[in-house]
Amino acid sequence: MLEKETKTFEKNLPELVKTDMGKFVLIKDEKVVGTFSAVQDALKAGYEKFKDQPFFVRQIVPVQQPLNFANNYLFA
Amino acid sequence: MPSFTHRIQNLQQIGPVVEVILTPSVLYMQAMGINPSAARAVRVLAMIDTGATGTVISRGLADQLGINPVGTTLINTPSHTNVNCHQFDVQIVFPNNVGMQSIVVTEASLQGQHIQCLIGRDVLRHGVLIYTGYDNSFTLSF
Repeated sequence: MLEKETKTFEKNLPELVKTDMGKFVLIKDEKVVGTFSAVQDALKAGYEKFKDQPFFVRQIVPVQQPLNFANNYLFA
Repeated sequence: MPSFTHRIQNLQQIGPVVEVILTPSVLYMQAMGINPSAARAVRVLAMIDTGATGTVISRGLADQLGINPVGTTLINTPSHTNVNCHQFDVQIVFPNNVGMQSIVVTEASLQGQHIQCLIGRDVLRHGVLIYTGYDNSFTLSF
């Protein structure tokens, strides 16, 4: 799930960094639906447009920082 | 400032764990026209984890809530690096109705644990955590 959206994000990232750095992008399938100043605004737009279908929201930064976990509870 | 204090008999051994209720986010419920009292909810044991960048829910919980992913992220642990995981938009309710109405959490397996949720610094950044070791208690305020 969200493989298409992840590819769309990666393909569009260089341009998005130039135009909307720090904002949150909403993507569905191969389409960049829009960019938003707050993550809640992107999520709200996603729910309004796509209801309960999966969609993709991510902050626009040049390099994605992984989430780090100091403990060993997680085992992905 | 809404807060709760939780006391555990052996806080050092068990860690700061607390029962929380997960539901779809308030944003989701509003957009779908779901009455909050009729929303799916899951009661889980969560650990407050200052070593976690973000909040994690155990695999399967999002299915139980009936929600779809809203993104992906990479995670690093001491034994795994750059693991791709789905993210979900949920509401987390702590005791005393203290909580976050919409927070994007990461889904991953919690290895053989009695806990099903890690509360990370993405939640803690909004509040005050007081760990009172000699009293075996902790307080979280938002």
